[in-house]
Amino acid sequence: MLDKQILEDIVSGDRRRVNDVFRHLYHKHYQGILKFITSNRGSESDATDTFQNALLILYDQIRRSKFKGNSSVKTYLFAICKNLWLKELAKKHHENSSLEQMPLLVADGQGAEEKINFSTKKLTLSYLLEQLDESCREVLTDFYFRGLSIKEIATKYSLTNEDSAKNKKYRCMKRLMDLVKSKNIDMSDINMGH
Amino acid sequence: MELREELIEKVERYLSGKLSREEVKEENATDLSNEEIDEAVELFETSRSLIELSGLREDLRSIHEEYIADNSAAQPKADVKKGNNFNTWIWATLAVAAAVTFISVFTGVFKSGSPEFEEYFTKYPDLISVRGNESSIAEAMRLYNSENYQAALQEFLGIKSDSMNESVLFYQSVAAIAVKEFQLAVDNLKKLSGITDNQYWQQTNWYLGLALWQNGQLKEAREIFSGIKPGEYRYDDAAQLAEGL
Repeated sequence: MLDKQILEDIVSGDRRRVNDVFRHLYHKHYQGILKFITSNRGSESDATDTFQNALLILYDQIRRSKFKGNSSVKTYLFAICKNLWLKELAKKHHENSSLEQMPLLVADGQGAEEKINFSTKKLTLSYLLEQLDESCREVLTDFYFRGLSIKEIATKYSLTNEDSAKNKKYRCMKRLMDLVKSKNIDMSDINMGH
Repeated sequence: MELREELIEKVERYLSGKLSREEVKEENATDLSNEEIDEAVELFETSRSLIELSGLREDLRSIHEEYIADNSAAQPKADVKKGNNFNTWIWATLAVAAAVTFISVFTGVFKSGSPEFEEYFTKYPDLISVRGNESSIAEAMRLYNSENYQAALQEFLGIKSDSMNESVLFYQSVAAIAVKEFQLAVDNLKKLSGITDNQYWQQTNWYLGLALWQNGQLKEAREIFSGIKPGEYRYDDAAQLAEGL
């Protein structure tokens, strides 16, 4: 899969194509990252977390047109992983959560560095959804991520009609928005490429 | 500002272009300022963004499981192929010689290079979350996870059709393959591959290929395996089977 294809698939936002890209990158680069992290005081599960976070950052950067293509996807991905892991090590060592806000830097291979405008706090916040009850989490994911219609949601959750499904969806969205609000998040720092 | 469900609905309609900002504002003229509408819009977008991120994270977990399953299935074969030291080579040679002798003596047939189904079939990991009111699905998955496939299949078959979804159909098919109910697996998996947004579409292809192969539909099996592309679920094995069948 060429870099051009990777960019096109991610920009499309089509879940199937995005997953194909993730699979491809997994097969090509996971072992390299695993080797890097386990040789630098990390475990296999650290490598998995770091690699998956890096893929999410790569996705975000491409969707928001922040990835300029000055370096190859491989260089970019490895640089994100290395930066993330070094920050994680520093955080473990200093127990300083403000490191989450430190910029990530990616070298283009010719001496220049590019700042990635991505707060790793966003990654932490993706777990916020897990604070909702399971049915809410599923309904929101089905509608906003998996693209199910209200009618399909009504059928899937055995709800009496589409109005009930719609009400459930908004009730759940309200819970999530209240949670986000309660965390007092700097939202300009968070939003992904919509 | 209190987030009411009506306001959330209006914000969503506004963001999808079905309502103008003025309409949102007019309907809430007495309650909301511009800043409050801005805040509601930002909260909505942030929440939607977190749902997307969380969904992608879930997909990545599945992809990781696939990757591990793929690699653990491929590993023993790769080790034998590499023969990276003399002892391994000797033992491999002796093992092959013993196998050849056994096959020649007891069957008189030498099936050089014929792929063995057991080398390729592995159970697909349980990645579904079962809600409380779906106890029959939970029971079926419990049996599936304990590799009691016959009982799992019976439990799957007893699930009422209105609670059937693609996950149930998929895991039912894998259980059917495990107990050699290949025709049932073929029928189910063909049904699944016809669902456009089937979340198991890559795995469906792989297991459909296996079921067709074992059902004696070799031409169709080869076509399915040949259609599995690099990076897709069990690509390496599919390529071997497309060649070897």
